[in-house]
Amino acid sequence: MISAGLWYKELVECRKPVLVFGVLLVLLVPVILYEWWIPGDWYKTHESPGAYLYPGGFDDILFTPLGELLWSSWFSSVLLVVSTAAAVVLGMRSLAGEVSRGTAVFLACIPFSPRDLVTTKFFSGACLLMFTMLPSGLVFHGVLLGESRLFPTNLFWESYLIIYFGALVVYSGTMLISSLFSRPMWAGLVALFFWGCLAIPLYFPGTRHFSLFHHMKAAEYWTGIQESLLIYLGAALVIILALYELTVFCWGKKEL
Amino acid sequence: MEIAVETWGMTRVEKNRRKVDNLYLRIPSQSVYCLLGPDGSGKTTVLKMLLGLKKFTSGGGKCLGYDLMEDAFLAREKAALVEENNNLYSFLKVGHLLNMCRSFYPAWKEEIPEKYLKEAVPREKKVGSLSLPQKNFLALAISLAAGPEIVFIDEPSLQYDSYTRGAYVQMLKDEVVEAGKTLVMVSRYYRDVERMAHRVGLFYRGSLLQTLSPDDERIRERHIKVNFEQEPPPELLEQEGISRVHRIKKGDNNYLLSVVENFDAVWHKCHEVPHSCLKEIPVDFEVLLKPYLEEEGKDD
Repeated sequence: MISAGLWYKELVECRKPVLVFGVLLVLLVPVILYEWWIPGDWYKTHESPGAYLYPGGFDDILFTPLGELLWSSWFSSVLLVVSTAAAVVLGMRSLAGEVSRGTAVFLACIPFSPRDLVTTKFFSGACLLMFTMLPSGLVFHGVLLGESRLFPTNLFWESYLIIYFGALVVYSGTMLISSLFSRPMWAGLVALFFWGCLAIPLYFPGTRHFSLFHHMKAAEYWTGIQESLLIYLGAALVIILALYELTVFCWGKKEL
Repeated sequence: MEIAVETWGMTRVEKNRRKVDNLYLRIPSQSVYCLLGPDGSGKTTVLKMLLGLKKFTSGGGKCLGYDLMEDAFLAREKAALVEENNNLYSFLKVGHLLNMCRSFYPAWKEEIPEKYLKEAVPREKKVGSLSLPQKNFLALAISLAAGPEIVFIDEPSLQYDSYTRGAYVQMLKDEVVEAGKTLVMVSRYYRDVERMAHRVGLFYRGSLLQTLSPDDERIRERHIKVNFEQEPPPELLEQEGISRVHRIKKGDNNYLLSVVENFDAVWHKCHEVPHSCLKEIPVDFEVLLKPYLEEEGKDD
């Protein structure tokens, strides 16, 4: 059961980080569209099959459909980094924050089970991540359409969805870490270390498939190697469900 | 007689120290029980264990018929806990906090916050800007509006002035004692509980030393510290109600009076005599527990 009262509390509590990350993403849209300059050798490193293509310094392709695709894919990369950071910030304070300020006992004495509490926290976090990410996507979409540029709308939003589910995985994992700590700062540091370690395989061709962030970028999907969106979303859902169950277990066992 | 809380051999060991040691409790329904003990004696740990918020190392217990090892969550649904430093959501306004809590409980009694918070706690203020007594008032009103069968309170009226303490105790009397609910309190000040408790458990270093009636002379004792400007008249120190007179320093007019009865009369008499200092000081638990500690020493 999801508690409407707790949902409201979460929205009020997390409005500042949501605002900060949401505004940051919106501000990055014109920067990416008009100001970003990418050194040419970046492109070379991504020429290999299956690699993720970045625009920049390639004026001849900027105003073609491929160019728009590249712009949007570059935006996806920025979105990935910022949404991951937002997911860590929201996740680290979700449960450890309740313990550190002493409201966990209050929550333990309301007629909601640990499962109800974690469910409410998860869905409110999902909602907040949506609030963080969606405005920038709408602005990006609006600007490109306003300038009548050719724009692969479906691919852009599908990529958006994949990154959103990836951010939900990060949020769920950070929430699990948060359930083990009594201070949000410690939960955040451990989560950063954990997700940082998961990013390392991304930099080696042989191991990049083991990195969550490689799949969040959906490189195979963009380049047509993997055609089904459902594989990404299904895998994310399975991981989220496992992390959710673990969080319920850990929170239920926690002494307050 | 229905039993609201029962424990048998309740023990908790933390870092090789027995925080709660072999505690046997039987608290009848609709009664007021107080665990009285000094700081660090383990009272709050007992309270949390009775709600299943802390685990038992050994022994067992029941609250409202629910096993605390298995079904503590079900017991908590029918219980309320008011903590010593109530940390409510400081970023919410009082009105929003009440709305949030109302959504948790189908049987929410709106008349309780209406009645007790109306003037004392403004709804448009943020919880974080309230004083500690206001926060405790708010926490108690929320707990009682939820309609619990049993209320646990940690240090009921800490840091209150006498007026606020009176209002707090009145709310407890009206909404808990007279409503036929069970009240379990832990405190380090006997004055917090003297007006309500049916039974008082003396708690020290994780152990329940003895359960006393609230009329017991040992816990009724109150101390007045007074510094007279001249030698006080002998009849002042011999009046009815004073059980002990202790001259703090020889040749000085500095006294510690132990008062068992007629506290107000003794206080006023002292007040009439010229003095530079007159105040009530909390009873020293080491003094109160001295007979038990001496007995413990003999056993060792």
